[in-house]
Amino acid sequence: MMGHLSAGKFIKNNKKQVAVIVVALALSVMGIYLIGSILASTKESFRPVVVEGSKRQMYLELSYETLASTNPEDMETIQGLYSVVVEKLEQLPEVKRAFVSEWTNFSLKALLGNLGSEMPLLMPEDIPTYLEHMKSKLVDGRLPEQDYEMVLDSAVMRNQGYKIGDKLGNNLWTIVGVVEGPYYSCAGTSARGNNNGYGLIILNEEGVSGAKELFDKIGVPLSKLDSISNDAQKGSEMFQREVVDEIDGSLHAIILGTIFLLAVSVTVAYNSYMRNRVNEYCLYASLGYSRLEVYRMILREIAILFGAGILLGFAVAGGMIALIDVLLMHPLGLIPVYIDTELICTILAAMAAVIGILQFPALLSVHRIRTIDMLED
Amino acid sequence: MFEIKNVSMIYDMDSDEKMYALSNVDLELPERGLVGIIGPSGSGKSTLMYCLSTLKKPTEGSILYKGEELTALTPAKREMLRRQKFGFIFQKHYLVPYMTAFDNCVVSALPGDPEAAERAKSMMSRLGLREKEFKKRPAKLSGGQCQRVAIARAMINGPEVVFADEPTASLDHENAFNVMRVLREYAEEHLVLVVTHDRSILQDADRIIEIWDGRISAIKDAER
Repeated sequence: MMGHLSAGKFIKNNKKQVAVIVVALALSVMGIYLIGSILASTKESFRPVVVEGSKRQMYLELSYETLASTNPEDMETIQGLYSVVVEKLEQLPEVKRAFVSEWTNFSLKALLGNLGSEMPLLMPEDIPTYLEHMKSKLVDGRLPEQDYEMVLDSAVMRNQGYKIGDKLGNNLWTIVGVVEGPYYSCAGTSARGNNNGYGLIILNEEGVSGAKELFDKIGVPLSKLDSISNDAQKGSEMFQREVVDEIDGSLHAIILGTIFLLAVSVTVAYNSYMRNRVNEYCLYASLGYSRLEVYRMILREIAILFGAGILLGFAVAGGMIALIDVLLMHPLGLIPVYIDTELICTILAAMAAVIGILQFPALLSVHRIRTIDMLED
Repeated sequence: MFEIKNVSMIYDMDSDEKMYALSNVDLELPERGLVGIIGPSGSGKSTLMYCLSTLKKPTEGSILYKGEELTALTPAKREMLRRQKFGFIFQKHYLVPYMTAFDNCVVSALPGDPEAAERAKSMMSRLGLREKEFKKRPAKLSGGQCQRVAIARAMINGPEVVFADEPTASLDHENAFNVMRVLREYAEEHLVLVVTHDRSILQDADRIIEIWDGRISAIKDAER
């Protein structure tokens, strides 16, 4: 628009200089968002297993002291020791089933990091109950019928590169089927009649805070000797400590480092541009433009550059995430994160901070504005 | 239009030997006409022009423009005056290097002026620039062409006063004559102040003010 100091003219006529800044901004935004998205995908992929799945099942080993305190009739066998506890637990409305059994672990790998989670080893006749409770359905193969067979979730199968018929655990277990459910649940059988488990697997309804709540209700208080491998509270704490805190800590360090480098480089580059434009600013002042108008023009230029850089960065990051999803995440059964509102807000806040830092050289340039006569003196 | 009373401009105020760029200048300038300010280098002619155009504030004295004291104006009012009432042609053209000739011309246009673009083109044409040169950047124009763009820029708002500091310094004889013809025409309705040390370009001036060592040594009105 005529009569105003246009930011567009500098941008339109200095494509190379502008492109350098826009590309630097876009690369920074893309880098941060891409890394953030991969880390968020790790969180989102682990959450169903660690947090959501743990709300519906518990794995714990009770001490002899705790079990003996229930005065079971049979104190010679594990099943006997657990019998009173199991009976009391199954009378609670929030408990669907309790199994005295053993469990093993399955692994899930993300683009950054690995996760291990419990997989119950049950009697074949109990496996449908477990899978139904965990909302998993058989999609391929069959359910375990013999000793040492297992079914794995399709996401875990893709993640680990397994197929039906593969042997696992020193060739002891055979994968006989694939199930699909929201919690990546897996289950297997141990040796029939030879279950050496000392543990208790409880299938509970959601809303139970943890094992302690159930055992308080049945009047068998847990002690420090009892070991809770997983329950809603443990899963949530573990997810927060080992996934969220670790990832967020790394992400914040990456963001801070990137933004620091970006702030320094953009400030140096922009300072150099502004220094080269001293005569231009002085001309405007001589023609009657106020310092405020010059400052506004500088701000508009910065806003356009940052706007373009940020939009380009997000667009390229979106494309890169789609590519990574197709090439890496989907084959691993991971959940891609295209839109992370918190991360977007963090990046925008970081960019606003860089714009804030840029005000120093901008204001310095405006402060240095003289009229042409001073340049000619 | 201008009433200058006892204006002095002192550089190095703090030093023992004060340097008088202007010393007790008294002068009156008409509302229209071509006025030349002539003198050797360092005589104070540019300083006088800068004081009149509010780019410099004199150390002492009074400058009235249409009865308004320029030395007492706020910075915002000085800016407004420069923007709306004055036009500037500097010794160097001071074109913005990344803008085209046309954009350089309209950069000083007033906001909301729908005819500024047409006037800029017309002005540049009158100053001898061809249409294909309107889109060229200063680096692709000769020094003379740049100066003509700067002259067009100075006149785009139809200012009441045009301050021209050596406007023909970088022009060949033909273009210098052409520029002076345009300034002469403009001076029929406005005031044009031309600072120069080249007396030949002031042949058509209505008044010539000679400055020597910061003082007005002579004022000669043309016999018309």
